[in-house]
Amino acid sequence: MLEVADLRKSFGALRATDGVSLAVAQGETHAIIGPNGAGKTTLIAQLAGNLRPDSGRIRFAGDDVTALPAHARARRGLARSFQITSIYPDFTVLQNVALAVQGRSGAAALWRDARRDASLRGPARDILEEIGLAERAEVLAANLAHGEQRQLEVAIALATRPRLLLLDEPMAGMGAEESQRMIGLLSKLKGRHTMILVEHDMDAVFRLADRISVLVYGRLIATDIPERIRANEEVRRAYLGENL
Amino acid sequence: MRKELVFWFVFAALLAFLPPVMNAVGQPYYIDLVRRIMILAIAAVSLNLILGYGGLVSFGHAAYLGVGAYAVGILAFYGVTNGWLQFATAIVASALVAAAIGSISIRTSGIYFIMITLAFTQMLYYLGISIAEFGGDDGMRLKARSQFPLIDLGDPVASYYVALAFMLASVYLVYWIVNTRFGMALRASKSNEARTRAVGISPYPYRLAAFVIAGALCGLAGALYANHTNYLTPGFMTWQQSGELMFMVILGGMASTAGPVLGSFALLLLEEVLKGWTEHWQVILGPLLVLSVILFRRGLAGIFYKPDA
Repeated sequence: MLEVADLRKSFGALRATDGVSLAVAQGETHAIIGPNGAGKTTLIAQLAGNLRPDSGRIRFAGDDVTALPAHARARRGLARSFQITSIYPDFTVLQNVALAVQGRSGAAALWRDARRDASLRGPARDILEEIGLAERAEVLAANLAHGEQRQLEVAIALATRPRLLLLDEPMAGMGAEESQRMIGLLSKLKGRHTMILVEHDMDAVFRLADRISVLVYGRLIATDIPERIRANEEVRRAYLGENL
Repeated sequence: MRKELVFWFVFAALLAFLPPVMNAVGQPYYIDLVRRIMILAIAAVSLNLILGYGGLVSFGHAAYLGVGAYAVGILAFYGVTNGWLQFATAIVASALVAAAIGSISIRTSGIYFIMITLAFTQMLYYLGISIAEFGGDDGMRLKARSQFPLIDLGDPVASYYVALAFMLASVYLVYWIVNTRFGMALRASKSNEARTRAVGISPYPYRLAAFVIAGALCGLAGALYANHTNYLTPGFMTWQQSGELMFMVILGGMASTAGPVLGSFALLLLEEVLKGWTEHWQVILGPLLVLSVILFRRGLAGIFYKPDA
């Protein structure tokens, strides 16, 4: 589904992405972990198309997308959530998701009244149902609790009917209970969607991931199934003091 | 929503009754004044589409007021007085100018966008000054008013109702646009650009289309304005005029249907009253405007109803 070959990106002398190669298979949940400053966000930005790599190639669903801007990758089925909640605070929850449904249909029927457009609102409602936000549909997104906003962000990503979900720290800033709910939600999506999960919450990562890649100083030091990552000496050293 | 409809119904009814009442009490001057306010309100409504809903802080919107007015004035100068043709030319010419300015300026954002829209409008302003044939700095008289069947734009009351109809229609047009799929994409691009790109929508074409529509609508206002003043000058395109339009939108309430209309009524009526008191009216107007922006965070429209998201 996604193949990354020898991706490099430097900011001055800092090699934020230093020769990363990665392959994510259809249906896989692939976690990327790493200590703070390892370059996870930079890597995600390059995968999503917000940042151009200095060199290397990104192939998505068989095509080279290295030169495509973010909105063009999204149209091809690469959806993302953001580390810092990124929703439309002045839209209702339903409008947030309906806009993402609109995004996948492109510039079709632009003059249709969006408030009465069943082809947008229907699928948007289904996704809110699935994600557990159905009864909050008419609330302004700004008035949601933090955990609900994170759920909404996943709903927006799903509404583009993605082939690959790029989740950038979906548990960021959540309390224990909210985190559990999000893990429950993601495990429902697991298997049905191909996912790349960047996350600090090790509990979540080890419960959800099929394979884990460990990023340290811009380099991938290991990619393997969770049990072997847990036992890996080099990974343990990178995470000195943390319980894996 | 309900309150908003009630507001518009009452507001439109008041305006509809104004001319007979003013004629009855022997104050026809106010018919002229309110007609002017309504025409400039159309310009403010058009600006609200890009400023309020699109987040594009255009500091050059008066350009289209000028282009629309000059389209009518120049055609009349060459003896073309057919109103349909003049108004169509005003709208198309403004749309084309907006497309040219927009296609370049929308690639920038923030302060650069403000400056580049201002710069383009200044260019048009100096172009107006430099063409001696059309009066240059002094401007020129409109050779003849736009000719329409049945309606005489030279008649103060008839042209008042024309302006009222166009104002209400422009409010509805913008209201309709911002609720379409197109409008949602435009508003989404203002609300959260990165998110909008991430769902597969590139803001640029939506912004450019909105910019052109706003320019065209403002060009219509310019055509009406030329008929109202019966005179046109490059003064229509000054940065002060652009600023005044922006102020109407902000004072009245951005991204609301009533905002730009209330803003233009409030600003121009206040100007009128203060001018009657003192020639230093701007000294009083300034602080009053600052106060109103501080007091009414949602704009004047927020007094009458809660504007939607």
